[in-house]
Amino acid sequence: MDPVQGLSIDTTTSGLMVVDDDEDILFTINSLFKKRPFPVFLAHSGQECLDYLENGFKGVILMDIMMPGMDGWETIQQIVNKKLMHDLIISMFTAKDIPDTTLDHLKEYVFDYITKPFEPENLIALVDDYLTMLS
Amino acid sequence: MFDIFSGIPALPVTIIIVQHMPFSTTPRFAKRLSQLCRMNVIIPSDEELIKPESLYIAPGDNHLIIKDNQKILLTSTEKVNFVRPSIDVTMLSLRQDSRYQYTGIILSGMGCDGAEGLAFMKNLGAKTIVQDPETCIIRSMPESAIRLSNIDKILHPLEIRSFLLSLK
Repeated sequence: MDPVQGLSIDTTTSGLMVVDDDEDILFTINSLFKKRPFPVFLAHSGQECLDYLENGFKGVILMDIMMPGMDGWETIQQIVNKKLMHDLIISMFTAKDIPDTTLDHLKEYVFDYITKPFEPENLIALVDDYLTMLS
Repeated sequence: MFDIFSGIPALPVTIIIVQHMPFSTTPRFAKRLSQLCRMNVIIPSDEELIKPESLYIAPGDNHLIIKDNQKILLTSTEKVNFVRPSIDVTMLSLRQDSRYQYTGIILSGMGCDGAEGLAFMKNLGAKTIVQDPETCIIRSMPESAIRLSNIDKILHPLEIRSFLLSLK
């Protein structure tokens, strides 16, 4: 999989960002959406996610909860702290039946949750729905 | 939520949706719902009179209070259950009124918001419905509601949709 080339972002178009340290997940989702008419950005960490946001990304973020270093919730906390929470819809990947997070004060920033493993057709429909919301 | 409201016709009822989301998301959510269903979808202003056959969405970062069962008040007072809007705040603002038949519905979500409100509605004589936790990605809101009061129906999302359609 090609690495992300720089941080040049078209700020006029809503896109999809996937935030996950799991290369297989990034590859799979990139494959699902690479022919769609919107940009797809792959972030391997919470920090990469923040970098994209600070460079103007807007759109749908699919974020894993469990990541080394800054996990999904901590990343959202940083998004809020840095006032980057605009023109975004955030969905969190979660394994079913894991205990709920104790970070209750951040849950309003998560629009939806997606279980892993996910059905590709469901994920595509969901992303399409959310991008329609942002259009 | 979108699965439940997709294709819903204009219903002779008032629906109030309290979704935990930031203020910036509310217009987009409302727009999407208005594309999916035939209800008159409204993001209410403070002191707006409640109209029948309308679907109101609590604006993000505001509690939605129903005053005298006639008017919507919006307030940015403290978060309740860590959220604003809070489902409990809305439900607890209802008053007994024999002219109206209430139904309270709690869907998938994190935390316990809505559990106390739904129990309160039950005591007002409302029908109470909870999304089946087995169909929820995040179960804690429905489970909290089930623990707190005797729920009338525990339903799959498509059954909740069927219930809404039965109101026609």
